[in-house]
Amino acid sequence: MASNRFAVVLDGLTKRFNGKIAVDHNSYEIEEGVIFGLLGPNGAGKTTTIRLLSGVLEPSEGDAEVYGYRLSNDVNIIRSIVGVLPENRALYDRLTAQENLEFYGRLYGVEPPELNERIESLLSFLDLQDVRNTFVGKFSMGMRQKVALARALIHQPKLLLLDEPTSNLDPVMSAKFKEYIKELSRDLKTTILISSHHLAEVENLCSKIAVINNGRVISVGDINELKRRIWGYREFEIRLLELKPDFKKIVESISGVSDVRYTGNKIFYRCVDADKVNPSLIKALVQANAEIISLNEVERTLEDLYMKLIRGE
Amino acid sequence: MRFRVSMIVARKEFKEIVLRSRLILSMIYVLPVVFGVVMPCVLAWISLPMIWAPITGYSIPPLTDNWWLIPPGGQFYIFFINLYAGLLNLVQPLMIPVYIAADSFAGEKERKTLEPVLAAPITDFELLFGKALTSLIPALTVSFLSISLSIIAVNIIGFQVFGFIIYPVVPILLLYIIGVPLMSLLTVFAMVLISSKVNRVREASQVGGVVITPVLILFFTQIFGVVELSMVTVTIYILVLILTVACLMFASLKVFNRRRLIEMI
Repeated sequence: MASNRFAVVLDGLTKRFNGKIAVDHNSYEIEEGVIFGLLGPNGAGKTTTIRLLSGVLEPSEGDAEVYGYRLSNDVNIIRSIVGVLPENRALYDRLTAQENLEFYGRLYGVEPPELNERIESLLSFLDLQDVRNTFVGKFSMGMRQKVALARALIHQPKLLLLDEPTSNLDPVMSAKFKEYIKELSRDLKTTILISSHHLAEVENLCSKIAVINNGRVISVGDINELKRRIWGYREFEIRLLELKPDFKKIVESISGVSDVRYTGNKIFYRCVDADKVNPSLIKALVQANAEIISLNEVERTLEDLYMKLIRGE
Repeated sequence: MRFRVSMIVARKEFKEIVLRSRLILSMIYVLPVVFGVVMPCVLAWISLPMIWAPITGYSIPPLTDNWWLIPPGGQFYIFFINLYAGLLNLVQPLMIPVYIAADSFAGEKERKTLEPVLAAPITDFELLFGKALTSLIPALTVSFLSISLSIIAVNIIGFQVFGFIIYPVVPILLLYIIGVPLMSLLTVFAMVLISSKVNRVREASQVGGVVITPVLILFFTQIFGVVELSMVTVTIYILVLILTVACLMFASLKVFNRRRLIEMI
């Protein structure tokens, strides 16, 4: 058993298919209880990473550790503590929602009456009680998605691997699902890895991400830290009641301020050391009788970060 | 190997594939009636005149204790009924698993439902064993039901004429007791191999049709007098079956590998 600080440790994890590399010596850690985002374009290796971590695929090289168990030695134990929502949902159409959940529950060693309680609570949370005895083949995409989610959660996994988890959910269910994911992470300390193209959703849910392209990890870490590391500066916006020509001179004279732009009553500027620059700038403007309405940081989105990393924009 | 886990798979597959497939359900209901009662009865009834016909040129091994007391026509009748009823009952343990196993193995690939099962804590062997049980249990149940019905039906007619049980003779009985389970196993393992190469249930069941060949070979070699229906030929046939099943089982275990399966999806 390794240290329990990290739920997942990838150690040079590599997967090749017929000589073609899908995951290329990936090494990073995911802390316990964290919601971790796995980002990358199509074919980057996200699904293969999920399949490797769930014990479905065998690494060609390297290894990974899940809650102290190594893929190379304890794959069946890893399978029992991991829950997976695969991209294609993979449900049995000729079984009902209840039967699908019962099968997987039993496969993971959950037996009645506990199994019935869990099914009841998951179906109720996902608003599926009324259709529990309907064949899954008759379900809409969104409903199938919900059953697949319930299946991934039926054995209360310690590590949850979700491939595009909200892709077919309506906005209300999507919001509810995100809340539930946060709850799992916060209250049960479940570690969650989300692979998604929905960058706003990842930004909303995840504290840490790994961006992969062509199987390689381009960047990994805390989203805000990555933004700082990538851009190296922060951008701010000062809104004034009235922008006088003197104020422009003051802003441009402050040391550390760069790339100043003016739009209407707003001043945009960039700086590296905001803690030092902002107080001096505000003080100078106030002394010049500027009436400041607000000072805000211009937030870079995860999408900006992603584009920068993948396309260098 | 945890039998409990295999049974969980078998129960699910039985519900999904057997109980909810009209084709398989109708086979289960219809085959014992047609192959076990209707066809053997019709054959036994319409062939009765051959008992008194002067048949020569056939060398038929003694199939019962009373063999030499029976006129040549009667001997041929018993041989004929055993052979045909035997063929009808030996086709079923091959036919039923073809459809169930095709749906179970190739169907799972076609419907892309394998990934979560392969991510669950179940070994390849437990999964294979569970799926094999799904095919074997209905096949053996239907086959032995059909055999029992055919024994009753044929002897109702035969006993009145001969005064003893004319069917099954010992070699056929041996084929039923040992050959039927072996033939079902052969089909299941053959279907595992076929399903590893094809991605559609229909293709798998069509290709799977060739597994009926061993029975047809036995049948036609009898008809054309190449080999005789005797304890020796049946024993050789069973030994060949055992060897074939063993080879197919090893090949299936090699092919039924979750890592290979997921790479095919």
